[in-house]
Amino acid sequence: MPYHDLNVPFVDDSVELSRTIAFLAELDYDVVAINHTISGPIPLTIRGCCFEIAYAAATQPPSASDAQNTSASDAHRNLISNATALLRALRYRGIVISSGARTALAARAPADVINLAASVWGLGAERAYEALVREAGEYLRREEARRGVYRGTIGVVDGGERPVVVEEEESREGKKGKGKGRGGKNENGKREVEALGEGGEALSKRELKRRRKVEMQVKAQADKAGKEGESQEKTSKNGKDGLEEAARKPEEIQGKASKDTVKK
Amino acid sequence: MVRVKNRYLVVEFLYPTSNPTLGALPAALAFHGPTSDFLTPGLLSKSIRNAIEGLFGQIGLGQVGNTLAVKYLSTATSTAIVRCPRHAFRLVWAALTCTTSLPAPVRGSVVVRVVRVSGTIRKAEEEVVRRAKKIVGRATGVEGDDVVMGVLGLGKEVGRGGEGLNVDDDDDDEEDDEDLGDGG
Repeated sequence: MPYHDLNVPFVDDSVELSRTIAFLAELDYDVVAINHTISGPIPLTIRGCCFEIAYAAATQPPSASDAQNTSASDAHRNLISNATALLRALRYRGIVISSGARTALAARAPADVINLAASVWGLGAERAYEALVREAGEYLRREEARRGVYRGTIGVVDGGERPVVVEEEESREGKKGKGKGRGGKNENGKREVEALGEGGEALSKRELKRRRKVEMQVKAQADKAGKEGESQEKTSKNGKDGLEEAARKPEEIQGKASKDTVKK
Repeated sequence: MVRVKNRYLVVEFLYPTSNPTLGALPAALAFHGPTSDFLTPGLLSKSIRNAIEGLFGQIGLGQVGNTLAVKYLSTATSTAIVRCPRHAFRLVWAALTCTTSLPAPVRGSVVVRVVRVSGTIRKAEEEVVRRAKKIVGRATGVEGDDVVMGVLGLGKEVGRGGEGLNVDDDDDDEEDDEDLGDGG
C-alpha cells in the first residue's frame, strides 16, 4: 500500500526542496504532494473533507535564532493539544497525517509517524496507518473524481476538439522566422522556399504576405458573421459551412474547458 | 515469577543535511553518512532518557526504568540497537522520533529512524547485518540480496529506500532464555 505525504510546503529554495523530496523518497513515501496554494478564504461548506494534522512542529529542529528553544517546545505542546482535540471532535475518523516539512530534517519515516500518532496523540496504530495510507489515498481519488468526472460516472478525457490547422501553421511560420537566426536559408545558403504557387513556381515573401493578409481578412469577416448570429448564417449563402461551424463551436469550447480543468 | 519482556529497537541515524555535492554518490546514499566517533552508547542512552523526560516527563522516565540500554552502536554505519521494556517501547520510539539533534559533544542535526522492532537481540542483529549489506550493495551499484522483497514476490526495486513497515511484535515466543534461570 502506498504511503502518502500530502503536505510538503513549497519553499523558495530548490536545493532544500529537492533534498526534502529525495529524503522522503528514501523514507519510503510513495505519494508526495507539494503544497503551493495557501491563500484564499476557507469555503463555507466543508463537507466530505479530510482534516489534516502536520507533525512538523514535533520534529522540526529549533532554529538558530531560537536560542532558548521555547517556541519549538511551545509549538510541540500546541500540536499535541490541537491534535488530540481534533481527533476527539472527529471521533478519530477522516484524518490525514502529513509532514508539513519545510526542511528535510522535519520529515520522518511512515512507521515513525504512525508510532508518534499512536503513542503521543492517542490515535490507535491501526487508525494512524489508515490516516497515512487509506484516508489520504481516498482523499486524492475523491478530489480527482470531483474535477474530471461528470456526475460520478463519466470521465471527460478529451473534449473531442478538432485541430485548428490554420492557426497552428501560422504560429509555426512565425517561430521559424524569428528563431535560430538562420535567416530561413537551406544548406546551399539559398533562401528556403516557403510555399509553391499553383504553377509550382516559388512564391516570393511579398506574395506570401499579401496572400496571408487576404486570408486573415476573410477569416475575420467570417468570425464576425459567426458572432452576429447563427440563425442568420443558416439562411445565408454558405449555410452549410455555417451549420458545421455552429455544431463545432460548442464542442471546441467544451474541449478547451475540460483541458483547462485538467491543467489545473 | 514472570520474566520481564523486552523489545529491541534497531535505530538508524540519517543525515538529510549532508552535503548534496558529495560527488558521484546517489542522493539516497548521501543520507546514510557515518556518525561522529564521539557518540558512545552511554551518551546515547543518556540523551534518549533526556528526550523521554522532555516528551513524557517523570512518568515516562519511570516506566522505562533501568531497562533502557544501548546494546550496540556502530558509528560507521550509523546504526544502534536500543533495549527497552516491552510495555514502554512506544514511548522510547516516540522520543527517538522527536529527537532532532545528537547530544553535546557531537551536536549535529539528525533524523532518527526506527527500522525494526524485535523481541530478541538476535533478530535485531540480523537486521543490522542485512541493512549494512544492502547499503554496501547500493554503494557499489549492485543491489544487495533483497530478502524481504523476494519473499513477498515484489522483485527488486532499484532506487527505492528500505522496505515498508517495521515488522512488529513478531518474535515474541522465541525469545532468548537467558533470564529463565531465576524462574523457580
